[in-house]
Amino acid sequence: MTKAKGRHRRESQLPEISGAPEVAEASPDADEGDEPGKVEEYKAPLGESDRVVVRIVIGMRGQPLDFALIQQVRDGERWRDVVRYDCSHGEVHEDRYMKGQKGATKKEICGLAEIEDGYKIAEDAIFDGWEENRRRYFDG
Amino acid sequence: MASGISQDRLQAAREVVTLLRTDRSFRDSIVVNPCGERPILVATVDDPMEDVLRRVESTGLPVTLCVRAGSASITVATLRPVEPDDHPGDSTPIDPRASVGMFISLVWMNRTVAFHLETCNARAAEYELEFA
Repeated sequence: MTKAKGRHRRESQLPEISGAPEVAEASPDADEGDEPGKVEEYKAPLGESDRVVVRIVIGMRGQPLDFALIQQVRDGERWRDVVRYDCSHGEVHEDRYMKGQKGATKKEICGLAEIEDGYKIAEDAIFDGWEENRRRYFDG
Repeated sequence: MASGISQDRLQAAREVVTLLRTDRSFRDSIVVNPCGERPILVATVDDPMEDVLRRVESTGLPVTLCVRAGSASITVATLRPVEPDDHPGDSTPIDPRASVGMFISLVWMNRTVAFHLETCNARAAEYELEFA
């Protein structure tokens, strides 16, 4: 995170959505439309064992300030991350997971100044590579 | 181990994810359930309604249904549970294999569609579909 971005986040008390394993449930008044600086989480199951999760913080001018875009598979009773793009550690980066292994393989995507580009790259990598991402999670 | 998810559904999901970033009115149209969650079901017009309702089991209701038809834009509708006495018209019995596209057409004509599955025994589960 650049110093300016980090300062902005601290001063505005923006919630940190990236890198956290789970986000607390949204508050009951979460239906008040876009509220700048508020984390919104969307879950879209695409099959019985596959879903995509989007967490996003939108700024005053409608631009993303922070996001996490995650491909998940159901593994037994739990949903597991296959690949996750988020903005923690001061950059947009990719975390790839493998079944049975702790931790992720990390790769920097871009800086936070190019956060929209990072989101688009995440979209492409997740949806163009859905089956391959899945295969790598299960088979390495 | 393939997911079996069609390319059409993945493409529709990609468009939904793009809209979440770019379109405030789209974000505002996503229904928030009593738990504060925003579940989205992505479908194509050719998907059977049975498949959508199967996925509803994991999301719960209400849920936002986002349907992509060819190259057209995404149609956004809300699917809710209703009690038999809570809708003005008759509930339409539907074949579980009926397509999502057929439902969207009915909503275009009637604004709201109340329906239940023909195969439900016991007390029929009824649903209402309307544009978000």
